[in-house]
Amino acid sequence: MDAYNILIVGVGGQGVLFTSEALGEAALESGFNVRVAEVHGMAQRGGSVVCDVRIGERVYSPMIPIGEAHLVIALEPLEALRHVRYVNEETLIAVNVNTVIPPGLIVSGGGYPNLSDIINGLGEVSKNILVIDAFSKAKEAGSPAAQNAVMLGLASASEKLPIPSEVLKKTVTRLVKRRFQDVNRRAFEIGFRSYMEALTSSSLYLTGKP
Amino acid sequence: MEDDGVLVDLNALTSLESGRLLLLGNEAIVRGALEGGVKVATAYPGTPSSEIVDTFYKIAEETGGYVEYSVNEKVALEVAAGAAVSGVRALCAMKHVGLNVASDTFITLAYTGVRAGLILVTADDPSCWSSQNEQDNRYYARLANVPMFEPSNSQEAKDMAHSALKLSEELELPVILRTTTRVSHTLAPVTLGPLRKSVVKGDFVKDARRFVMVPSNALVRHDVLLDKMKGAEEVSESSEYNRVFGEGGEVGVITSGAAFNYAVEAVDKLGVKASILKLGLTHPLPSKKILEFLQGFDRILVVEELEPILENDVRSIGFASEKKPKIYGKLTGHFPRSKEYSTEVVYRGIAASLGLTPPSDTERRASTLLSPPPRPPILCPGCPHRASLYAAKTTLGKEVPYCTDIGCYALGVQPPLEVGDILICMGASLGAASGISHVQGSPAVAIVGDSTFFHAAVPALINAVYNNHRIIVIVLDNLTTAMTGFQPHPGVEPARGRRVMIEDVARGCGVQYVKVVDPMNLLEARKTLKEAASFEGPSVIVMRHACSVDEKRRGVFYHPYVISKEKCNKCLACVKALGCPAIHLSNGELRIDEVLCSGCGFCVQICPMKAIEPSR
Repeated sequence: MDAYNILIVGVGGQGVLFTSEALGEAALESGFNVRVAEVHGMAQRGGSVVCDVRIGERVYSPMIPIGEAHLVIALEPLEALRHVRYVNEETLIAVNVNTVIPPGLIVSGGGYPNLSDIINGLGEVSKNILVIDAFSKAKEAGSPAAQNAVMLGLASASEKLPIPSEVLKKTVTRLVKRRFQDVNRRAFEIGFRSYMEALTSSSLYLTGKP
Repeated sequence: MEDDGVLVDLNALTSLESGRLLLLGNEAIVRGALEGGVKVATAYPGTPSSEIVDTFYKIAEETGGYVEYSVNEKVALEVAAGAAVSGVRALCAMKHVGLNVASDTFITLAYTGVRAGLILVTADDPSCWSSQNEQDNRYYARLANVPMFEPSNSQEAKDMAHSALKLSEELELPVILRTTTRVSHTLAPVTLGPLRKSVVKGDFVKDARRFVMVPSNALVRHDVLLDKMKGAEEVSESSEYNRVFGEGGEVGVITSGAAFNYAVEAVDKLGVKASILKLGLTHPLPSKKILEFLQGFDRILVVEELEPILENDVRSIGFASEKKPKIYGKLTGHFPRSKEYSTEVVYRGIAASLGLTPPSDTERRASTLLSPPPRPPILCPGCPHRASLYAAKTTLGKEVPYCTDIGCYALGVQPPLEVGDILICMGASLGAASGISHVQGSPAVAIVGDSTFFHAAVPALINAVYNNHRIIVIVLDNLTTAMTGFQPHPGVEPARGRRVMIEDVARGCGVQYVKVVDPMNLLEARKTLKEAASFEGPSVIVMRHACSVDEKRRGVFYHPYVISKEKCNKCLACVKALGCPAIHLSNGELRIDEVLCSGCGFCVQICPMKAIEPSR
């Protein structure tokens, strides 16, 4: 298998590290070689956070080359936009529409871009955009903190991910404290189902073919 | 959920005798040290090295080892060295700039040497992800003249930690294990080896001629060191870590550390047929092996991050080669000398060297994708530093020089606070403020964190007292070492020993004006600052309030505040003064995010309309 590259982007505190590590653990468990490049230090300071997960026998560098991401999991829409240079027209971009407004914006008088402009912009670089309100899906699962589990469930349903869904679900559940395990499992399943529902309806405003 | 990351199963890390684990480079170093029988681990935390001793700390009970967060890197190295000269294997970890602090000890420690293995881990930070410079600590192996290993991934980090211990014990020298951010902070599979039992208790056997570095002994020991390192050359020549990947080809590539990963992928991508000499034991270099490699090619590429250290050595070795291959690197202008490398940077360098066309730029930009507004890291909601810096700025004014220091509060240089006019390194705020206040003939402010105060500020404080420098020292005491992951420091309740109060230290240093104040009490903080500003001589104000993130981690909860729609006139005073991430504009209304708000209540004191109220 050639390298399979997953970029996880978001804001410090959203669980970018957890999402990446869960993918790394699940990849190892599925018998793959894997590299996960993490960003530490700033993760709890509300800054832009990005992690790279690379799966494959011939993977040496932990960082995804420009334009070579197969999958982007964006926990925040503006962050998907910020890292668009890693994307090509085949890349599957899974975007959570729950926005986190940079606090500096109010001081500088700038504004957060229109959500539809962001989505349309992403649509110009890739034909595979999955848009989901992971916040409400996570609430439905029991906690807004489980948004990343929703995103992982969604991504794993796309069949592009080489990691079997069952393995990823087990990992996402296993890696959290016991009292969060049920919420995380449910969130993953809701994310997974959302993808399936999108195939038959337009609830996710899925564009292009999965 | 769970954004602390770092999920390694500590039980597996300390008990499995075989199998595979997904480990950060830093965790892999810990595992290698356990396989090599390390029983004393010391450090001063610093990104990207912190997880090494953090991990040791968490497993101390299971492994029966001694783990210490020392007051600074110099002391950390001295404690580890003390153990190693007494026959107990030890590890000391620090970030690259930490070795500047420890260098005085380190360089002469190479003369005395050690008895049990001693690894010094230096984690370098190309691209300054979390540092004030991107110095290349491979120079330190040459400056001190000790062996150095450079892993490229977690597996090698584990294996080399173990090998470094063995070599250290064989040569009776401290050995450097040098990582970079991308090695320390990359998760990768690691195949485990058996764990080793070793001694916890040691004996310091006296030998003054070896350990007392007066000139007559030091001169003898210098020659001993040179002899040992001569012997190390043979070890390097035969080391498995220095080996050739591939056979023949048009070009030879010589590389080490993280750069190896990019070189392999870049060569592949360009379709260049190449052999790669990967160096893992990089000091002393295997000169014979390198010379032999050079003779196989007309063109040689040296791929290394930061300084042209390897390149210079390869050039000097190549001088003896009959074939005189052309050597490409930084000195020929083909590879950059700053910032971390990537597969792209390396393939551009290789393509430029060989006159090839690099793969076309695949970077995509959408026409409507204006540049996204930046999202820099900022002070957290409820951060007491925000209150301290606000009080200082509004009391002492914008004109006074604010000499700041290393820690979260360095983020205060950003708008809207913009407090911080000079920042150099750990503890430099007091000395710099002293010089500035002297030549300006007016007071200057030094802003220093609690952990940083203990680390490097005390000598400068004594100096200020003795020379009567007009500095106002604001110690931001949030009761933890927050930036690097909430490690303890001497000012917090200890697990052993006694707590050291910052105000006691200041008084002990002879400071005549010492006050402790809670910065969340704005009136009190401002009153104290005014007094300090009018005091003739150095003053110390300890602004003490727990880190809000650390409190949250420990389960402390305060109710969030809300903005009354009726009372708020949208003057934005709170936002413009504080820049708290919990306060935001949404559909024209100012609101406090109930999840982000830590309930500190500081903004209540800022609002001219008294519109911010408790939620219950």
